Amino acid sequence: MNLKRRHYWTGVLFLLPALIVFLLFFFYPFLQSIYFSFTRWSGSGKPVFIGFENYTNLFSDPHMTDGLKNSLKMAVFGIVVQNPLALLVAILINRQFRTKAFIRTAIYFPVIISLVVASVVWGQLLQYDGFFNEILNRLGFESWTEDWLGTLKTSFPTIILLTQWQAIGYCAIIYLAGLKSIPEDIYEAAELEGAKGFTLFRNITLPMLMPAFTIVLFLTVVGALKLFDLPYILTNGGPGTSSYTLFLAVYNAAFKENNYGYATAGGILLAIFIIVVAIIQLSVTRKREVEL
Amino acid sequence: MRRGYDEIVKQTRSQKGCFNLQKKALLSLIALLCVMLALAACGNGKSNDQNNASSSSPAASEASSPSALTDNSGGDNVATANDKEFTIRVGAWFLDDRPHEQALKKAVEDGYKKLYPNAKIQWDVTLGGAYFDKLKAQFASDSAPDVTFFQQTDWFKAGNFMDLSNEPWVARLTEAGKKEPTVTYQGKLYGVPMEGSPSPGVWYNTELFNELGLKPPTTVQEFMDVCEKIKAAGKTPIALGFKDVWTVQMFLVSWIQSYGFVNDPDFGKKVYEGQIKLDDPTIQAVYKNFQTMKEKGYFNRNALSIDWPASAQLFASGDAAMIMQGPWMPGANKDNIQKGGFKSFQIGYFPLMDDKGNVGMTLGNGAGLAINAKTKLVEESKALVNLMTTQDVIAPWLAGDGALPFFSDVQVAFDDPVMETVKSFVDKGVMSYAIQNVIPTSSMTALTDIVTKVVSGASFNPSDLKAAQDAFEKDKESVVLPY
Repeated sequence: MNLKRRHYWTGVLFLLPALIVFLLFFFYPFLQSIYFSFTRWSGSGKPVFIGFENYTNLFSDPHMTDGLKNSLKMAVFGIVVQNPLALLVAILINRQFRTKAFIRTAIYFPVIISLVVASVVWGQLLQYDGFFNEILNRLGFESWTEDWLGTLKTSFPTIILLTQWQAIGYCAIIYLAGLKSIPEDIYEAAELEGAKGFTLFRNITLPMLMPAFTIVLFLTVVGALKLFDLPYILTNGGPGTSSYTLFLAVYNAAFKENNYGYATAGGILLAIFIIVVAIIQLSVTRKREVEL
Repeated sequence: MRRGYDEIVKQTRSQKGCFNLQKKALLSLIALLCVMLALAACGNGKSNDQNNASSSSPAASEASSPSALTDNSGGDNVATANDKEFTIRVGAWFLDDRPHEQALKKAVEDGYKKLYPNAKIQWDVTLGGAYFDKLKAQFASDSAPDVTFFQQTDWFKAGNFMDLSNEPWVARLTEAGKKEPTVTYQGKLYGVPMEGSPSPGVWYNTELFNELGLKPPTTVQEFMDVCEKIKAAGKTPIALGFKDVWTVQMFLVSWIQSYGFVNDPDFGKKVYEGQIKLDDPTIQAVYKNFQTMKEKGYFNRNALSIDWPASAQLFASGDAAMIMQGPWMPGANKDNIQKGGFKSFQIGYFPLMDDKGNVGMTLGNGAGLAINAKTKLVEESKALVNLMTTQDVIAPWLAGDGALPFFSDVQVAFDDPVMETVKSFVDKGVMSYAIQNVIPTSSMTALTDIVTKVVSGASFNPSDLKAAQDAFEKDKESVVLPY
């Protein structure tokens, strides 16, 4: 056996354990999921084939449709508000000042806290007789007090704001890394030619940050579409379906309603949706990336 | 030439070096694969051994009569000891650290030791609803416990449970127990109805009621009047913990029971067959009651963001006068008062009623007990199940849970006199199954969503009930009917 073939088969042998695990625990269950999505199955007994019924029912289920609306609202908020805020925070903490290290740690600190723990604590703080309303009362804003997570109008907006508590720090750090990677001499050269302030930002910083922007936008959009933890722990999608998300709808269909076939169809459609959105987003932002 | 030779030597050495490195890498990889295979085989072998060590031949087990092992009477349990060594697994979701749950475990273990001195009971407990997801996975992988507590009826259709129609304890069941829909399927009995859970109802602080000169209401209007007086006294009329969605469902179903089933015993059947839709005026009336109560401020402001334990605390502390809960409330309230250091009070009970004061009750089976159809410990499992239906084992447990027995020869002595009030309502109320027995879970979820919307402050809109009807049409096939 010549050297090249030996190399090849050695590589294959090294890949084999990981490949077996992937096939057994990811690919095979994925194929099974596709089958189950065309059945009525409660998790016990034999699945009954029902064709595309699960897929058609998804579009008339208020849990799924409201979940999709909320997930999209979350994604748009992420793009329009979260990203610019994160970039602004990154620019601010990129400057030189005394407490830079402390501020950077404080901004990133929420990211390392378990989301479950954070959700439970926020749930207590945001209750009607919780800390937040107590502060509002003491500041003379009694009329602003609400059961923030128990009111139709405020439950999902509150959840969106809570996600920002972690998301902004996470995105800011990625932007900060991007800012650090821009060579200083480009700025120097531009300043020599008279560019300053916003001109520098628009013509140098922003284009050079596009790779970071691609990553952050991708993570923001996908993260918004697969949001589950916060609504599950804080509101379970309520009141009504006002704080449902797509993932929560799929989870409840499976584990609360024992409708595994239907939930699998929801999961597959959700996966396809996320893939399509991600491909579109990546292709749009990648075109604008500038490389040195 | 020398250079050429050196080059060749260098190349050859490099190739040899590469080859040796590859050889080592290959041998390491093969070794790693062997270790992985060995571990996997050991894991399989171990679980097989666990099953095999405790099994007896199924044919031999089925041939022997269970009465040879246990006495049929509910009171005494004279049994022939068996020296077999085995481990029998029992699954449950509720065996937590509450005294009566621990007492049940101990009573079962002590009683089983008399039957099988060398047997061991392995309790397979996962607290809460996650137990049922685990049980599904266990049945799918043939690793389910030998004996398991259960709720819902999907298990029968799937053939997971053994037919127990001819067991000796069947003769001891009350008529209600023999017909209990949660344990029967196609005319056969697949489980033991272990606890007759009376309808959830409104538990009230009798001392507060006495202070305010209030009597337990008998109509919806009286109920609203009582709430108004309690609110005027600066207390929360009803404590809700609607973050736990099951409490929403419980409140809704209990009220529909009185509005729907009392006046029409076939109400549930008509809902299933489509003669009555889920936007029926009787069901709408219940939602209008919720809306009235919300608008008049009869619920705690954080009703949707606190769970049932927090709402129970609100009740135990005396800040709320009433709470809508199940029959476990007297025991739970005593616990909460003791742990919270609150002023003790006697608890009272009244069921939810319709506008005219009619009361519909259910005596549902809160927990069934079944035998895994594929267990290798058939006789041993049957003996364990029989043991668990005896007076000494089941009665104290029922007392702790505030539940009633389905066995005619089991007497339950309740600590709290309020249980006599509950029993009196069970005896005189119109008994039926509940609406959740005739509609799929997705439909129940949709009905529950509307309650949370109304309690959050939104106006009730009858068109919202269409979603529940649509879910019913979509998932009707999944319903296992109780009749």
